[in-house]
Amino acid sequence: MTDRFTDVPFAELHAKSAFSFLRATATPEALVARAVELGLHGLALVDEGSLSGAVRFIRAAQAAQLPALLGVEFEMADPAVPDIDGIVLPLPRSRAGDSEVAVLDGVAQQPLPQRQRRPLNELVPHADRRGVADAELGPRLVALATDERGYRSLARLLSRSNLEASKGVTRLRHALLDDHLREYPSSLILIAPFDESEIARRLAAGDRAGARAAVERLAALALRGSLHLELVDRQLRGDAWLLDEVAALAARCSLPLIASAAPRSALPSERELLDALTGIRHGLPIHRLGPLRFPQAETHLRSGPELLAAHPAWSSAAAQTGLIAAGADIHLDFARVRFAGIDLPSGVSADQELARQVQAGVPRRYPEGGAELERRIAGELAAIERTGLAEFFLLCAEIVRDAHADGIAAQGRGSAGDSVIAYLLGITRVDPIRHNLIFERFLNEGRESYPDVDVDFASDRRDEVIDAVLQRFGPRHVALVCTFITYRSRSAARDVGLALGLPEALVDEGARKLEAHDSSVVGAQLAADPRWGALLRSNISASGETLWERWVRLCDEIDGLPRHRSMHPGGIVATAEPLDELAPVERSSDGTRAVLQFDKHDIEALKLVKLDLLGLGILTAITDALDLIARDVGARPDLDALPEEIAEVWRAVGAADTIGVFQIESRAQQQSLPRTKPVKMDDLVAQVAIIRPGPIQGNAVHPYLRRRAGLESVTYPHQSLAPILDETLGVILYQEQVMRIAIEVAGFTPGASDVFRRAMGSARSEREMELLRTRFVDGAISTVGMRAADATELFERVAAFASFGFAKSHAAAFARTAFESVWLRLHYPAHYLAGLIRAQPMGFYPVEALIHDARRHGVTVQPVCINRSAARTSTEPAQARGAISSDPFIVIPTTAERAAAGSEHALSYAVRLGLNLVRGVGTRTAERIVAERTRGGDFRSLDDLARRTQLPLSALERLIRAGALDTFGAERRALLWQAAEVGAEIALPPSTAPAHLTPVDRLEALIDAHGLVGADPTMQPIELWRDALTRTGTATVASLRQRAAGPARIAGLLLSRQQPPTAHGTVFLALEDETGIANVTIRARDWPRLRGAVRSASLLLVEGELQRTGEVANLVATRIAPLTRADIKRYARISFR
Amino acid sequence: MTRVMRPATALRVHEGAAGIPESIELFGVVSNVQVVERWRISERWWPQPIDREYLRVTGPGWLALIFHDLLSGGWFLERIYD
Repeated sequence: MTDRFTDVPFAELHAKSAFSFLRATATPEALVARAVELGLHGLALVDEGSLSGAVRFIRAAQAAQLPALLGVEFEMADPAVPDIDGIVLPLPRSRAGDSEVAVLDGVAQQPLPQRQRRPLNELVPHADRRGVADAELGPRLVALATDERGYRSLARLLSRSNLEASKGVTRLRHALLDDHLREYPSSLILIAPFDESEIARRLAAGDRAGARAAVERLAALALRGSLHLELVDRQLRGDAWLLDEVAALAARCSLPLIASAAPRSALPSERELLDALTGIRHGLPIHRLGPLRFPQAETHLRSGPELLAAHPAWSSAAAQTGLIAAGADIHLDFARVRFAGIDLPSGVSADQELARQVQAGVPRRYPEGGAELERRIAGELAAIERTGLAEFFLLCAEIVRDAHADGIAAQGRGSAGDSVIAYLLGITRVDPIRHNLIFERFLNEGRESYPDVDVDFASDRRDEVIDAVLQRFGPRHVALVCTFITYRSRSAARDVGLALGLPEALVDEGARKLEAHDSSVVGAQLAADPRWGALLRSNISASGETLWERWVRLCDEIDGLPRHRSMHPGGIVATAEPLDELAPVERSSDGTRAVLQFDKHDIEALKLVKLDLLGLGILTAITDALDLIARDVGARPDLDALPEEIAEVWRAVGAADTIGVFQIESRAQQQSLPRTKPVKMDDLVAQVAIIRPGPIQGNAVHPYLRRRAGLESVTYPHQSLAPILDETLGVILYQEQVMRIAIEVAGFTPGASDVFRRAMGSARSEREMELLRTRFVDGAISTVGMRAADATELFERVAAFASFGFAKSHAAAFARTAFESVWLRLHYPAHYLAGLIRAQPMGFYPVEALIHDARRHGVTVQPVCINRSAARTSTEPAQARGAISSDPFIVIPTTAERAAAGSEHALSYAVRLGLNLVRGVGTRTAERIVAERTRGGDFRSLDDLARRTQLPLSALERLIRAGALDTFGAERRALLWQAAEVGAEIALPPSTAPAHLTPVDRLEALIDAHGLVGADPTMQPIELWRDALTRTGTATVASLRQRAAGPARIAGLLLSRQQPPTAHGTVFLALEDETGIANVTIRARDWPRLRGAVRSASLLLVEGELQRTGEVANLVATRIAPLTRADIKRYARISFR
Repeated sequence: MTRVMRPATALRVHEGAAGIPESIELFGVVSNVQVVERWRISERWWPQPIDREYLRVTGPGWLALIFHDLLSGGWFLERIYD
């Protein structure tokens, strides 16, 4: 019977996607696919306060040749006309907990979920909308764009309303809409949504006059004719009457009607998922949602005939939608405005200016010049001119140059390192000619996407760089890119579990067991566990599906859906035209930055260019260390000028004496360094690239390690590969090598080789793979005369590698920084440690591990002192040099090496921990304390300190317990007694503490130091247990280095616990005592037995079998027990309880 | 006067085009009916799904609330106003 409506050209103009964030279930692509199936004449994506799905939607619709429109459903902050009776904007409810429980027919009625937001309609930051039903929010209004002008208007309107409010709370004022539509007349179609518009609310309350007045106001705003009233088939009780009222009003006001299903999903089967998302959004299980649940039965996309079958009178309203959709013409492509304007000399093009700046860099970078250099520069400049990216390079160079001028460490990373132009402009520090890097890896004309330039800045000053860019180009031209946080296995398991009301502890246990990211395999992963397998089949409901099976199914359905937007760590876009017309922006959570509602993939699709301005902790550490060196010894080492051949650096790297060193400090790196023993920069580049999950998973690591150790001969898959794979001993390690293989062996052009590399690294169908294989094999046969079988085998090897390949340019940039940090650590250990502590949090190890490692290298580390410490950790002249550990793997430069480096004076400095390390004091208070000390001299007593600084009692107590006030010569507990008096509101003269107070013992002081400062610089915790440990035959970690394989027992502080997915359940611990850090391995089968002790304590006694691989020792644990306070006693019988 | 049927009483319904009732058999008498209002509820899928289309229908001298259980396909009388 629906056949008679097939001629009506219906387009759905009010479809929501998952980019309404927990308010709809379908991806934009799914909506488009379903719309095509249903034969719709067009589709408008109208998300709530969001355009985040716009780019994906337009691309999908263009691919499907479906007319596409974009809209936003705004929440209005105020009524269109006066709302004296509170019809339009609901009055605030009483706070949760205040409502009375109603009793009806002797049955207690469940109270309604309470709103948890602040009073209505305030433009407040961080409005919390959990538990707020849609009907309790402001009325809705849809603004719809049909063409690019409309899109720009929409993006601007959304941006303006977003920037007036806080993140995620788009509230549009009528005055703003009025103002906007004067600026962009006739750019948007306004639609009053059927259920939640001001008009509907007034009609539902019987306020026909008010509804008409609101219509007239909106029609005046929209320029009459582009305001539409909406009819929606919700199938709810009472809707028939309201639909008649809306239709009558439209007739009275001569306004057009549009018909809609107002879908929140593509298919009927997504109803359960929609309810689950609603539960997640409100933080409530579905059975407690009550009126917060979307009430209508059908929330999916429907065809025109289906809609008209229920409402035959709507045919003109349906036809109106088709008429609107017929005018749809949105193409999002902003290539022509993608760069912020760069100031250029008059009459000089960007390409000419780029060439000038590049030539200016030659004398510094390549004083010897050369034909190859000139050839390469010319080739790169030509490619940049052809791709129109000159302005982009100039912008990057300007940002880095300005940062350097402000003393901010900056260096490019990633594939930009493949460009000699980036090197000459100072964007990167890697010489691409020296490292034989391929420019086409960075940029080639076959690339559909624009190149990424990632620049690292000292992490503590990265925001200054962003501020400078904002200031340079103006706030309307610059914004950060967002990221979409999408559902993956663990987040899906937890959120869906909450929505279904499953026991939180069990859900959490299940979530912890999940290792794959993909939430569509939650069931498969848990079913492998016998207990979970049984659980998943238990508790069968009436529907025949167990509750846990339903959980698994919904986890599958929610997989990959966006949950919320977050800020990209450093992606920034700057455009010549106002950015808020090209892409919607909103406030960051803290309200300080403008963030796009588009992620990096959207930006790429729009042909805008993203620049990554990232914070890197090691640059802060190095900069601070260099500043301290310059202050103490009067000269600032030039790290750029360090030659690569420095013997002590390679000794330290080969001995894995690298704690605190960038990139090569992890336990995995420390295990491999003694085997690979890098002796030159190329080795270090390979080391940075290879110890990563990808190569480990791809079995690339062990062949390389065996060949480095001389245990296996170097062979090549084909002799033609020898020049390409020589530097990595025949193993494919870098993406650039894949490209060179494609070029030199299979005859690809450089541009095609990058396409090949990326195609190999992405998910491919069998057919695509076959095409790639054929092209590669044919090329190898014709180019180097390789046999077909060999070429096929080579192709398979390249394919296996491609999924985890690493850009050599990236590894080279990091390797150089690693090299410099090793040098600093060797020659200026105190200054380097101070830099590392200042730059926390960063790196693999906690501060205390860094401190005790430095102590083993002879660095004295002084505790926090109220009269000696600066606000931040610093260096000071050392009274005496500390003892150097006897560990043979500790590398100390010789006197001659120190003389060569000019670092002889560095040893006379110690580290003094900063006052800001004391938890609860903070940098600002620490600076205030130091300022007062500078003004009025050293503090003489607790009373003097309290009086002069007015510190609160809590801060005084923390400083006392951290040992910062030990300088006053009083016992800590006595000081605590006094603090209570001097910190009292009514000042009391400090009295002498009672004599019977028990002094703070060593263990208590140690616990306080760890709790309040993060480390006790005077003692590694195991020292307290050492006597008892020695008597019970427990070895030191350092002694394991020279001990033969066999049974052994050690004790230590647990620094890290890792259970990498690649290790099949094996757990790795790093255990530190006063002599060093040991590797402890727990086999998968032993983990269930031993994990209780490992998880419950940080000081552990471990017994097991010592295994040796060359110089690397591993203790395979068989028994583990916590060390206790009782174990310190002289005659304690330390044992495994 | 209104009577609520608990549980709802099964009905024999003669459906016309689009599944809309044209007549129902009520207390042994077949009467033509007119649909005044219709709506749908889809609830409680999590413990025990309810999916019903409700209709308010008028017959000779009475008004009834009936529903079509979309899960079982049956028709039921829930309330009658006479």
